[in-house]
Amino acid sequence: MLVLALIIAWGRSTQSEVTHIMESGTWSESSVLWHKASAGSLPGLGADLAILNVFNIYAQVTSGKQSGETWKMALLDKLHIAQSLDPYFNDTYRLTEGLLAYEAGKFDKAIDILAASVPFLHQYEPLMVAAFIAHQDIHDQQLAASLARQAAMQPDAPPLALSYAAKLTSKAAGCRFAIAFLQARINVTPITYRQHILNKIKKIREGEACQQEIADSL
Amino acid sequence: MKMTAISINQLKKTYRSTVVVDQVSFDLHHGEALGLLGANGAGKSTMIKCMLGLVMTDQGTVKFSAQPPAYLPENPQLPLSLSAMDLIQFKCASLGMECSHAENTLNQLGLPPAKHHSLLRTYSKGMRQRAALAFALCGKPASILLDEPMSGLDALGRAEVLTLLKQRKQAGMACLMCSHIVPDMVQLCDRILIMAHGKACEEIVLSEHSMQQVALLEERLAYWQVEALPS
Amino acid sequence: MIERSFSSLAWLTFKDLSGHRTYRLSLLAVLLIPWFLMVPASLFLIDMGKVLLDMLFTGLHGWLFAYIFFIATPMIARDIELGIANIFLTLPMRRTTYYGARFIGLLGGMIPLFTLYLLSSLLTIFWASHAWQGYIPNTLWLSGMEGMLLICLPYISLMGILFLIASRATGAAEISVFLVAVWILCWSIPPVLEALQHPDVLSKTSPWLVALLETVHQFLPDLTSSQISLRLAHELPLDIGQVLGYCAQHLSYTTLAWLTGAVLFIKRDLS
Repeated sequence: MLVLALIIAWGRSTQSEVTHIMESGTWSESSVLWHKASAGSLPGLGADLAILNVFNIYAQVTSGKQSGETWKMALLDKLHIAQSLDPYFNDTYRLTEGLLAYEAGKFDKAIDILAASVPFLHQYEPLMVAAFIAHQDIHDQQLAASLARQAAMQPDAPPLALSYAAKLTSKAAGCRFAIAFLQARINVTPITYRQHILNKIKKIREGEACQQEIADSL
Repeated sequence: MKMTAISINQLKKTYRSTVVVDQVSFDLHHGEALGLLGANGAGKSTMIKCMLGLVMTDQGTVKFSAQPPAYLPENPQLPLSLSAMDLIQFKCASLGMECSHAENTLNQLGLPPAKHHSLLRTYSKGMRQRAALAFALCGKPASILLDEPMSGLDALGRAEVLTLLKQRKQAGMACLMCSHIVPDMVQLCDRILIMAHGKACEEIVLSEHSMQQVALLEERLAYWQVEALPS
Repeated sequence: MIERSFSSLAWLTFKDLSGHRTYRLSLLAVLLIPWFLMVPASLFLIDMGKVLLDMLFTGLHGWLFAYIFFIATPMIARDIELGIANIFLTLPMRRTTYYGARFIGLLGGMIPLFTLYLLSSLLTIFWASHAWQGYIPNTLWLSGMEGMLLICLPYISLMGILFLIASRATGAAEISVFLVAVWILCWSIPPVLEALQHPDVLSKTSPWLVALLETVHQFLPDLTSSQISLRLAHELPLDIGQVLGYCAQHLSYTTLAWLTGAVLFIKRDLS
């Protein structure tokens, strides 16, 4: 018995470690449809498994077993699958920000995934992160301002989101656009936050650049 | 005059183009045992199933004087995760009857009391056959249809079963037994109906239970096997 | 009034089930499964409650599937193949009584398993919400309970289909093959039809195949329940109309399958 057990243990030890677990295939809408078909009643579990694969990919990358572009495509693929199977899953957006944007450097893809959360989550956070990536990493001020404005319009958006949206809008489209945006938000913002918005409008108006812009327009 | 327990008239069953039971008629009285003798494939089991409504008939009528008969199938299959007593209690509960004699019947059939509440999967084949017979006999049915009742039983078991059936017959139960083993039938039956190729060929009244009768029946059976062949 | 023989056979069916080792092991397994499912759930970042519910729902799908395929199917197949049904039908018992009592008995066999799984799952959720404070919402147990009750319905429909198949089948092999085929079709057709709503996919698929899939789908129950469990896992509110429609379609489907099966069973020959 012991000998047999030892033979089994030896046999297992000779097997090479699985390092090519990642598919290099690229994500497409139709491939996701097949993932949905195979998940059947369990799309939530399908998304969980895709996220577990993301962890696995990251573990391989940090241990130096994977390098180059393949793992980045695989990461993107898994995140897309997770999002399409369960678009409400917060972990997908957290990993998109942490791994796809900052580890893999796929900023534009990360923004796509984060922006697609809007109809499902109605949360400001993924959009805010997307705006920050657009502003900070791909330097697309128009996109950043647009995303930040969307973030500020979400029901859970704090005053900080409004300020950030106003700042990015001011930078991208001018202070008059930023003031118009803030004024539009006053009526739909809880009363406790209104004073904060009015202060922000006042601050933008008093700014040197804004005064110059208003003067130029006149 | 004895009352009719079961009356069969012009019973016919066809599977596709093959006639399995071909216009068979007979009467069976209370306190009487009728044997259906025939080779394998003669239509005995199918006829019993037609009588019980398990197989749909094409033609003919089946009448019972009282309640429908009890049934002991060939190689009875029972739910093995139950005990013999579970089954008997279920039958009594279903029919709304008292089954105070259930223990006695099981004992009479050679099932020791220790086995009454054991799961049927722990029974031998012969013991299952006895449990199935006890299940069929509980509730004191007015008639019983037995399909090869002795299969799987040893000599002692056969004797015990025959004794019990004779007792019930004397008490007025009508027995219809089908088999291809002639000596067993001679011991219990008053009349024998020879079946071949779905037809009821000949009825023989048994006057005594002797070896001559056995020989006669075997001879007639062989004769009808050839004679009743479909043209 | 329920016939005496109906209730007796339903009870005997349950007693028979409880005598099976597989069933008793299942009772133990459903108690333990939810606790083991906490292990994969603990690997996630934020939505640990959601993942735990996903796992618990999957576990429920798993044992309900196993119950129907490995406990209910062999029992009904044995009844027909080996002639155990004949023992009951010659009591005498009406065929519809037998057919109904067996159905109720096998559905009744799911109740102890479900109750144990539900209790064990709720305990797991309470324990997890204590252990992973901040990650598991306090009301998760409510969504979990609602989800588990709703997930059972498609399997009741599947039980109806099992009986419908068994009403004409000759044995275990035939019943299993048809039931597996139905289950695979029920599992995969709704997402495929969903995919076909996509213009790209639709343009690449021949119209007769779409029509065929639509037709097959109309005859089968919707076993997916995927959107309901997805929303419940995230504690999102369910549309009451959607839930009522879901319950109504499954209960109606079960009744229809049972009635059709009963009509076929009355007319069949039993060997």
